[in-house]
Amino acid sequence: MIMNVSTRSPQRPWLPLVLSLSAMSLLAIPIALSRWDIMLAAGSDALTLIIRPPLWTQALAVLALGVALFLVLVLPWRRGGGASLAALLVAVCAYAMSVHSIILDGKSSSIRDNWLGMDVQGLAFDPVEGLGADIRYSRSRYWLELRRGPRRLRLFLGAGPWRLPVVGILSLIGDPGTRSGDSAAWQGRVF
Amino acid sequence: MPGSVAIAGSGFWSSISHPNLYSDGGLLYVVLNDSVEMHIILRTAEEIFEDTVNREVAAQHLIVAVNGNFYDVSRSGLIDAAWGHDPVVATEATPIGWLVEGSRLIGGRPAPNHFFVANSLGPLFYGFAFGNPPTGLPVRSAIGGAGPLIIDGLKYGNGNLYRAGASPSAPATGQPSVADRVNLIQRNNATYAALAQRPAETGKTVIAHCSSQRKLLILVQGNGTSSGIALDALRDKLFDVGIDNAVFLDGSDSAMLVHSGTFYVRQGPNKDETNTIGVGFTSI
Repeated sequence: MIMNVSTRSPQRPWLPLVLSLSAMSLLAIPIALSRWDIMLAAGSDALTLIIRPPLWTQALAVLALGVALFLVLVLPWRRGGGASLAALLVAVCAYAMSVHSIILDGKSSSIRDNWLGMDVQGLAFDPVEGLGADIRYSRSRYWLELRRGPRRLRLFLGAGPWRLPVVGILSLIGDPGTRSGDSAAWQGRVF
Repeated sequence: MPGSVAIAGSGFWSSISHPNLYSDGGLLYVVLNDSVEMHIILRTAEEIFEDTVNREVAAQHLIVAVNGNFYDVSRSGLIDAAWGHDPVVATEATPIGWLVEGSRLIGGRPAPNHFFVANSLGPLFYGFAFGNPPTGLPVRSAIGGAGPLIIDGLKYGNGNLYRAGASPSAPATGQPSVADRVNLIQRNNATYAALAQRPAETGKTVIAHCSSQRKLLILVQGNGTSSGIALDALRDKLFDVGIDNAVFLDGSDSAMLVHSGTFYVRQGPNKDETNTIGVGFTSI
C-alpha cells in the first residue's frame, strides 16, 4: 500500500516529501508531551522523577523515522526498497524507545512504565518509607526487574542513545554500586 | 526589595522582624509571630490561580500567601491545560491532603501518609504532625499532604541515621526499636526522598515553626533559582537556627510567594491554570 503511493505518482513527486514531513510533525507531538512534566506527573511534579531519553535523541528518532519513511516512499522495491523498509523498522523501534519513560512518582508512591505518554504497568512502593524499604531489583543489559513481595515490574531500558539512565532509581533503592558518599544512611549506620 | 539576612547564627532571630520579607541566597522568607492566623486559599471558580490569590489576599488581609499542597489533575484537565492560558475548571484538580478551614473540611483528599500543619484556636497556635489534619477540633485552619523536614525536633531525610550508641541492627528504614529511637537523629521518609532527588534549583515552599521564639518562618525558593539550595542543606539550615517543626508543600514551578500584595515568586503558566490551593497568613 505504501509502495503504491511512492514512485507510481510521477505527477506528484512532492507527495513523499509532504507525507514524510507530515508524519514527522505528528510524531513530534508525543515527544512534546513526553517532555511536559505536568502531563506525565498528572499535576504537581515536584515529587516526580521522570527518566527519559535526552531531547536530542528524541529529535533524532523523529528525523530517522521521517527519512526512512521518505526512502520507503521514493525507492522502488527492486532498487533498495527492501533496505529502506528495514531502515523504517529500525527507525520505528528507535522512535518507540524515544517515547519511553520510567516515572518514579513520589506523589502516588509508584514506579510507572510509560510509553507514548500512557502508563502501561506500574509497581507501588511503601508510601512512608519509600523505595529503600522493601523493593528489590535485578538488572541485566536491557532490563531492570523490580520486585516487591510477589509483585514485580520488568522495565525495558532501551538501547543506544535511547537507553534510560536508571541510576537515580537504583540510588534510592540503595544499590551499593551507586551509593554516594553521603548516603551511608542506607546502611542505617552510626554517624 | 527584601533585605538580605542569612538564616544562620545565634543572632538570627534578633536580626529579623515580623512581618518583613528577607532573602538568603535564592531563598525568600518571612518571619511572623506565631499568633498570626493561617487561612486556606481555595479556588473554586474557573479563573487563573493568581486571580484567586489576589482576591483572597485583599479580602482576608493576608500579609503572606504561598502555594498549597500537592495535587492531581484529571486527564481532561491536563488536555485543557495544554491549550492556551485559560484556567482549568477547579473540579479537575484534586488537592492531596485535607484542607480544613473553621474546623470544617473544605476540600482535598485524605493523605494519611503525609504530614499536616494546623493553626489552632488554642494557646499552642501551630501544630505539625503525621496523618490527616484534625477536623472538629478548635482548628482555625489546617493543610495536609505535606512532606516533613523537621518534626518535633527530629530531622527527616533519606534513610534513618543514628548517633553512636545505636544497636548494629538499627534499621535503615522503618520505625526503630524503642531502644534505638533515643539515638535516632534522622528519620527516613519517602516524600522527603522524592523531593530531595530533584535538583537544588527546584522550587520549594516551606512552613516552619520555632517554638522557643514563638515564630513562624514561611520560606519559598522559586523554581529554577540558579543559587538554589538542596533539600538536605535547607533542612539543616532551619534546624541550626532552632526550628523544631518544618514541612514542605508543593514545589517545582508550583512554588509561589506573595508578600504585601506583591508577587515575588510566580507559578509556571500551567500551574497557574490548574492549581487550586494556597495558604495565607495575616499579619496579626
